[in-house]
Amino acid sequence: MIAVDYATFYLGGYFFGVLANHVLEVNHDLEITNVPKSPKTIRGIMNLRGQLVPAIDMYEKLGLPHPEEKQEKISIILQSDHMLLALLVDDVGPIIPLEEETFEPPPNNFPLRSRELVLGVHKLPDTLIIILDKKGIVNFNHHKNRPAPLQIK
Amino acid sequence: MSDDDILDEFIIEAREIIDQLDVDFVKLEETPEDIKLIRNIFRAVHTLKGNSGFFSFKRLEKVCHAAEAMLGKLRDGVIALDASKTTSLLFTLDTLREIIAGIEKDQKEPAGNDSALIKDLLSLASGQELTAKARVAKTETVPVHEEVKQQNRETIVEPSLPPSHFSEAVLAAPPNNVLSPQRTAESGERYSTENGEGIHSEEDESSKHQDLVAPVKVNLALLNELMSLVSEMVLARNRLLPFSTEFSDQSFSNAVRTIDLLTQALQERMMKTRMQPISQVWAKFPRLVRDVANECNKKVSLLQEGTETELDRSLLDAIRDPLVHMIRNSIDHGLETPEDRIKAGKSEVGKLLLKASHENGMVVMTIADDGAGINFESVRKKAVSSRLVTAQEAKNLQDDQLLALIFEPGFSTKDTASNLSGRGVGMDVVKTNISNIGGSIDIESLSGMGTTIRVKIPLTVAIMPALFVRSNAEQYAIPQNSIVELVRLDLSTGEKGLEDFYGTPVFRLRDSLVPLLYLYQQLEFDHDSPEFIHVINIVILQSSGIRFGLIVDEVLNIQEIVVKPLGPLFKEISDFGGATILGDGRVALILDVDGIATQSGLVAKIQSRPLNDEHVFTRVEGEDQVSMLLFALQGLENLAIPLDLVKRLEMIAPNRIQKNGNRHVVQYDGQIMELLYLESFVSGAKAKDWSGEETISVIVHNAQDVPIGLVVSQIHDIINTSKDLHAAIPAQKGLLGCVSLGESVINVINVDEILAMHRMTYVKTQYSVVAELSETL
Repeated sequence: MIAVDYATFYLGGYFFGVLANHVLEVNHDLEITNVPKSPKTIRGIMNLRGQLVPAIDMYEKLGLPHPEEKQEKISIILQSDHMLLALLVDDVGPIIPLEEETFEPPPNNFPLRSRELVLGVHKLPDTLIIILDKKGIVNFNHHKNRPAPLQIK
Repeated sequence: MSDDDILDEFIIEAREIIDQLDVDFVKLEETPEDIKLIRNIFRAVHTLKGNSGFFSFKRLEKVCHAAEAMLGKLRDGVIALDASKTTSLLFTLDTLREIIAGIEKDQKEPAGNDSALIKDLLSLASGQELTAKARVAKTETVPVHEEVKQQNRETIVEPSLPPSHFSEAVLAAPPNNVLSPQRTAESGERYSTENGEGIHSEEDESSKHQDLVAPVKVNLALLNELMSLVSEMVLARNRLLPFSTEFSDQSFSNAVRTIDLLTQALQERMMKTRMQPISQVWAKFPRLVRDVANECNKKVSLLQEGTETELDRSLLDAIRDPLVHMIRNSIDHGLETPEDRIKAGKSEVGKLLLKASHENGMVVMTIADDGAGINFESVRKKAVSSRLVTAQEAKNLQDDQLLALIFEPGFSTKDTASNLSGRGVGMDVVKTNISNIGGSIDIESLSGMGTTIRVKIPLTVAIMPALFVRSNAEQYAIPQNSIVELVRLDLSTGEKGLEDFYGTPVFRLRDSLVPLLYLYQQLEFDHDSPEFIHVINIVILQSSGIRFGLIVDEVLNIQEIVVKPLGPLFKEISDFGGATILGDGRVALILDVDGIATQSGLVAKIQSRPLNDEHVFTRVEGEDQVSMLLFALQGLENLAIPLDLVKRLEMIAPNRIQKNGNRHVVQYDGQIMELLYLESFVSGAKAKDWSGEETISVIVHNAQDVPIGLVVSQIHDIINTSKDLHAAIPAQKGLLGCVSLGESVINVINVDEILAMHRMTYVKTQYSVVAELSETL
């Protein structure tokens, strides 16, 4: 079995993973400039060594219940086709090699909205990693509607 | 290197050679004895011939060979250069360009027959003038070319004949093959624009042309990336610098110092890569001037100064078309024919000066001619006939105001568009193009002495000055070229505040009303608006043809900014034109003034309801039409007052009204203005309780230079009605009569009567008496 590396992060008490080779780098404490009138899923824009990178509010994107004051300090810089995106997360985890055999597709009762973002889960002995799809994160066509809350279990 | 690459190299080099030859031939016409120049030209043509032979491009080779034969004779002094030879040579270049364009498209030579041209060149070379026989030979080429054109409808081969030979060709050619002069001109123009893309190294001394080390061609995208990396490095360096003073480690501060110097040097060199001499664009102009002058039958000598002035290459592309247009204008409209010039006591050759220089970080370009100057009378007439102004307004316009009209859309002084200038686009397009790159343009003209146009553009678009303002906690940048002025209103010192015009807040700036927008509202912030703002900061902006004020929380400072696009995720938000990175690494958004004006609905609003007095009060009236201001009183709609009797409209806060005995007065324009409540004077109107109103609408009327305020419930609109007034029978109090407007009837008030009634009240000093009195009137 070939193991594939996943970059992991924590958000709202859940543990998520994205393909490590989509991730350019991890930053912390980048200042975000709010862009008025932008969709809720976009917190603003930040400066990554001279490049403007939109900062994605992952709580909104995933429809997770969020604390009163969002205080994500860490941004995972995701490389998409022609641009970079910064995913705002609570904390980063280690890079974990994952094998096909621990993977399970999302349960049938997954809301459609989340299905687009979530490829499935990896069940590890002590934890559960929700695997996110880059394509879903990059897709902003539905951003005007607030996503249905992500239901896990 | 693949074959394709070699071919590309060939095409680029051929273009460079031809572009250089363009310049050289025109130069040679001025200084035919310049043997060095002839040698250079000869060598260049020879090189082109050699290269063509390598690819076995037979047409190219043959044409070059014929040209070379003639140039050889010129070089050896066997024949002398004259206008017909120059024309032939220039036409040769056109043919070469055509062929090369064909090669670029299909990787092979386009079909065509150049035998007439070759014959011409050879017969000129052998010392013969173009005889009648030679001319007949040429006319045969017309059908041939036509045929070529039909075969290759898609390729751009559309041969043009040199202008001087053109008339003979038309005479002899069958009518269906006649090339219209327009077509000739069009194809000529196409060359000049098409070849603008060619890159070539420019050298003052053309003899060096071949000895130069060929410049390396670098991908522009790569260059831009480098540029942006260097900008970042500069910012990183700025963050590093403070540390060197913080630590006393000698070797550390030395290292920082070195990085500082290197970064600076790198930045300077990097900026240089984007800078190109203006001669890149100007090099095409001698040819352009020659062609345009020939077509207008004018003699023009072109002077160029400051060709070495450098500016950003993206700007070079942007100024090319405006400059071409202005040069055409100058020759076509500005300079007179040789006969007229001699009559005016000038030399028969008109002068056209192109000058470029650096001035306060801007590039200033001057296009000056010593022609007849702008005819202000015809500008005036044209402005009226293009409905830009009324005849009445036109009479009072000063010269500089007339000049400003030239830049209005829809303005052109020539009734019929000539081929050269005035092809439906006018100076307004020139102006738009120039303001798009942050530049400005102004024009000066002295009758009989000539016209001077000055164009100011920034050195680079990558960096531009912007004003930073604050709204809520965020900073925003406003590009400086759209800012007209800044206004700070301190309401606590009793300055006039904001007024309301059909629901739009407006501000009276000198003589005009400026509509206002709140930036925080526009950006949809939840502004915890303070109870009462004492100081209002207004940035007056000009955009999309309207002037408006943007109210911001604070005006900060002016900084140079580097504009970066926001990217696809934000493309639906039209309020921002991009973002910039501040010195401390934070991002600030750049406001898109056009976007904000359009988005806010202000543009549409202003267009449907012009709000400035000069517009409102000078509506074009028909012969038997009269403008009226429509208003209402309590219980009485559709009242009107002739607009001639209205000086201004005012909104007055009730707390400004003071009592003077029985009179109600306000301070107005440094005078005391008495208020008349019209409802007391017009029959049918009901008394209104004014105490609860926030503002009171007042029509200001001048009675023998004393302002009188007529208080009404509501001001509606301005209408045009017929002058036919139906007198009211029996006479109604305060009414002159009525006019019809569509299906409704408008009652026109009798201002004289009302004022007379009002004066009576002085005598009686009792309002109640007025009613009785007027009954008996």
